[in-house]
Amino acid sequence: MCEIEVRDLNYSYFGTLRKALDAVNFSVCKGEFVGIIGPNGSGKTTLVKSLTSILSYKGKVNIMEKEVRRYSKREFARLVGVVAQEFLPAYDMKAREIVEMGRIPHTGLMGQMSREDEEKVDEAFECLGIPHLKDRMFYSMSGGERQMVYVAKVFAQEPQILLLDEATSHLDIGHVEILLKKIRIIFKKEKKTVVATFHDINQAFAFSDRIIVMKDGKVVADVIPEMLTEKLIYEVYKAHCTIVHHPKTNKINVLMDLEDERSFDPLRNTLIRSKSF
Amino acid sequence: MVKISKGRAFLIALPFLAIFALLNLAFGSVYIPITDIFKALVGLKVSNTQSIIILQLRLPRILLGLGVGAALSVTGNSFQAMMKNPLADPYILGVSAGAAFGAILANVLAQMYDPNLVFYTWIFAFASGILAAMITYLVAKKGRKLPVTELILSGVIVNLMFGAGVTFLIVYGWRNVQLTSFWLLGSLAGSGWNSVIFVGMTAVAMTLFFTIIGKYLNAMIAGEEEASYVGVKVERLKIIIFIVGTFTTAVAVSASGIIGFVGLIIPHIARMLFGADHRISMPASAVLGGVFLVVCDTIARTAFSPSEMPIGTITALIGSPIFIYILRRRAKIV
Repeated sequence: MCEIEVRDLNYSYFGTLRKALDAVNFSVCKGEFVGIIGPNGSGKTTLVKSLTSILSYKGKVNIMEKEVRRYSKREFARLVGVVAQEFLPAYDMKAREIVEMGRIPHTGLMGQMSREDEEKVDEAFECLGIPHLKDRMFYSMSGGERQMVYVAKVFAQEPQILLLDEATSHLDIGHVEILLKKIRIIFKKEKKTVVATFHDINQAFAFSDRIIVMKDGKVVADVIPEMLTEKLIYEVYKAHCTIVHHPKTNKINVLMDLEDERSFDPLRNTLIRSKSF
Repeated sequence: MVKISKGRAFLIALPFLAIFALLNLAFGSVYIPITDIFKALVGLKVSNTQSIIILQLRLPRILLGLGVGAALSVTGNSFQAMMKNPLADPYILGVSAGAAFGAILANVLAQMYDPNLVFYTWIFAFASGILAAMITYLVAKKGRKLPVTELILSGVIVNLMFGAGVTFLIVYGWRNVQLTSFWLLGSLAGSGWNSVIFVGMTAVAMTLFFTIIGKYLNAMIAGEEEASYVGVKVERLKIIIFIVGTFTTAVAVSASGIIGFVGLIIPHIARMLFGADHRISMPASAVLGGVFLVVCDTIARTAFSPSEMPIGTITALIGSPIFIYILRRRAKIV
């Protein structure tokens, strides 16, 4: 039995007939790092929100063999942590106060932080290498620093499962590297599960053990990164590209075929002159 | 650690603020020396008139000011957190217009039917304020959810609706301009010990309550989804804040009319001084709000002595420039 089991998951947004999620099936086992890719509007974020039972989906979503809807919020927050694209409090706060929010599911009614809670908060800062940000105000930080603090908050939460919803899509490559590397190393070491949606498919290939490809609310592929083909990428994204192996890491990498006016037609396997340019 | 020193700064400031509030006992149509005030407060013998002025007129008025100021500021702070909206104030849900309508209705009915109804004005105000908030709630509610945008919009509508009702009553039923200004601009005048005790207890209980749930409010200002990710039952919390806030506002308004600006600017000032962490900004709002209102009241009743300026005018007059300053500063930071 796997840690996350999704069976026949359906969802339509209020007042629309289009299925945002259409009979989605997959499972994720303990300790896996699963990347979810797909074009804008393919249902990646809807999927993450269903996994956290924010949306009232149809179908079955089990985490640790229990339907997610049946968890209490507090219980669920101790099990699953979520990092979304951006974290922006309405009023300026200290980084430390934001990371302390991660301890909410662990503290009692009065919210008194115990010595242990304080230590966990400090640990989260240390873990991500940002102890110098502790007393900085959140609004004064750069986008990259804010995202690091946000992830520290989720680390302080100590979840067994981490969901990333395009958490790196507006970060520079330096922050992407440090953030995803830390997450991967720490979660692999503790044999914890990560499910991450990606905007940038190369990030997904570099860090995931397995890739789930979505289009129009359906899962169109569920494979290891090496199995992905140029044809599939074209069918899903309608983008012309070439798949190469990275000379140093040997991981697959997608290069966009945007050189001058030509683009590559993967269906005919020839270079064509595109009329749309 | 900075967090502790903030809390400590607040604790150090407390007694000074308390003494500062009591100093306002000295001022009024009659000046009373500070030594006599302390004598009267600890029960030593002073002249009879002075003792009545202090214990029966000024002291309840100052305590009511502290209570109303605290209640409004704390509620304003919680609404600003719940709605993630820096412009939210305790009156955003229509409680104020509802209460004013109820109070003026009571006076109109008293004129037409039974003069004794005047003594139940505050009950009319309270009930009508709650009624207005209930209408807001029912309009805003979508299924089992209470979306914040709808809440703000329906609050605006309900405010306008009851505002129209107030105008209607004033024009057709009743022409007592002074009482109208009491309800529409607020006043701490004529406060007895009964309302002091009622408002004071509410203010203290609500400050404690909102301080305790401060950690959940912290999560709320990061957004409802974020709050639910750290285990907050968002919909339930919103309804609790709605009910508690409405009750507190209705208590305050039925005791002192619609005193504007306190519930809007004090939370901002508290956040500027002590940070946005609600475990500190809530008690800070309560104390600052109370003291601010007492000072405004002293100005309202002394500057134009022997006549009185409605306190809402003074809070707005002092509050507006402060608020504009904060708004400009925020614009620079963001």
